[in-house]
Amino acid sequence: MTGGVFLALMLIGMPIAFVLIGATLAFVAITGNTAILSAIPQIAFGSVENFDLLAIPLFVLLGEIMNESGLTRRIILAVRVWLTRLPHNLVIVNLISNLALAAIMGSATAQMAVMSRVVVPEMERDGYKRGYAASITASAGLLGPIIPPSMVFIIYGVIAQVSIADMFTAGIMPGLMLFVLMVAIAMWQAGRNHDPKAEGAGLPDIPRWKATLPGLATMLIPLTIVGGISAGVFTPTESAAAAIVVALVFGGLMFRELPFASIPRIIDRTVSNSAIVLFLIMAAKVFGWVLTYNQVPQAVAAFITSLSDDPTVFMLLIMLALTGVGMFLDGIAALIILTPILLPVAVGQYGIDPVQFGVMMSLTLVLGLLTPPVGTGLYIAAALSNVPILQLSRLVMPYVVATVLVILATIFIPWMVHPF
Amino acid sequence: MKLLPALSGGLVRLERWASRALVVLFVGLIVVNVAMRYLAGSPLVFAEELAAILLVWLTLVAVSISVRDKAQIGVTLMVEQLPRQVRQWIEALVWALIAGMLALLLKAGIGWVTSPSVGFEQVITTGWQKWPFFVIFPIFCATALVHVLAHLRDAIVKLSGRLE
Repeated sequence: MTGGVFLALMLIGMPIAFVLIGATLAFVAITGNTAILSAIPQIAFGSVENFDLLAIPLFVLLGEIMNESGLTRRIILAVRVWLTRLPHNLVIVNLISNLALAAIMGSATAQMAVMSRVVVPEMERDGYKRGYAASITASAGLLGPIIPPSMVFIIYGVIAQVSIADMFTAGIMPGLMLFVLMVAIAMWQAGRNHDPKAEGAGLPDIPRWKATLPGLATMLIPLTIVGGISAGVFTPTESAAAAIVVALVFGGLMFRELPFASIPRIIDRTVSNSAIVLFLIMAAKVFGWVLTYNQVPQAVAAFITSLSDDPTVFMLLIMLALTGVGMFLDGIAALIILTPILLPVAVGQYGIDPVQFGVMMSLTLVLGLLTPPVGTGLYIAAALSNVPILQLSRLVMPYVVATVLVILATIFIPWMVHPF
Repeated sequence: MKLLPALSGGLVRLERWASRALVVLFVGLIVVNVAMRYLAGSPLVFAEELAAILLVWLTLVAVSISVRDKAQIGVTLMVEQLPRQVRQWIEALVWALIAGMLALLLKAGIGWVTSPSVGFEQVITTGWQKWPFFVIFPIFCATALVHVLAHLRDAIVKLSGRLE
């Protein structure tokens, strides 16, 4: 019955967090157990009273400062001036800049939005077909949630009680593998999507050093994050705060491209984007109580173990199921709802490493950003690049296959997530 | 009946300023804590606990703002295929249901904050009583309820064909 209410509320388009609360209240009404209702405020308050979760608004804020202050553009320019002699250099610039931004932003959609606005028009000026440029940009956005810092990994780490630093480390090899595969696909397709006559049209006319110095300075931001965490100087949350200070110094004081008047706007966007994720965590914690009370994880465990007792087969089954879920439900929402159900089965029944399971689960769910009908990343890239959504869905398919290969690698080669 | 939209508009302005202050406050708190740890060798012991509580405040204020801005995500794939009239009915239904949920949570929140048991809870690192921090929960329910009722009113106006 609670499941029926959950589905009905979801289908009428109610915001997912309220669907979870609604299903919980329906459970209270059905069972007459009003003690749960009284406990909701306390559960909700406790669910986000967590220092690690502070990293979410902080990384969102960092991404907003980077975009608003032109630091993102400086990274792209610095990469570009050094690759001008390579064939299809702008394709590589796009992917390397995405890799660098992934080490700063942690959010795929923010990354896709800024890169679609900045790089796609540049590639078009350089003779590349717009659809091709948009497909690379949208797909490379997937590096965001894989390369540390990753908002998805922070959320998984908090829910699964796994070290966030371990999750960040686990994302490095799969992220690099995906990057290499993406370069290969983009270069293979480049020839037939490029008009060589226009090549170099958008090339910036400034000396190399003038572009490189600000870019190098900006790269101190990912260094603060990744270096700070791995050297044990900062926790992930502190690294985000420190990186914000660095970004403010560069964007506001050194390059003077961050007017004080823009700060409230930046914070407003941060608050808006963080609210969605944090409210989902809150609501899912409340709903998790109902799941536990109804012994849903145990029922799921009994069902899956009846299919196979092999951990690899289990991971493959979950990957398949999550690919389907990710096509219809936002990846972060799905991660928040499903981790408490699936993780106890994975660890308790199959003895799977929670970090490996988390990486597989996160990658599979973020793939939903590129798969119709609800691929948020597709919609963002299509809208900002002015490419029809159906065309873009077709063009990103090779990158979707590449991502599936990386997910399979994390399942079959556990070393991938524990490289150091 | 223009009281609700006006009230909702005034509230959200207040909430935006509160959310900006909260963001500045916890970024500042973390930065000062890190600086104190490495420069002065004496970190602020209460920084992490207080920052986490501020995050709860920010979350609830932010959610209220996002309710007002209709920024929360939902699966609207099926609803978008329906005729306009049906969509408007469903929109009104959704807001009415959310209003009901928030009213129930408001009642539960007031019950929680005023219950004798919360009087024993303390912020561990400072020894402060914790219940004043809990007050944000019923406040959130009340402000979000105002925003939802304003949306519900708009939906009903649209349904009755008196589009303003």
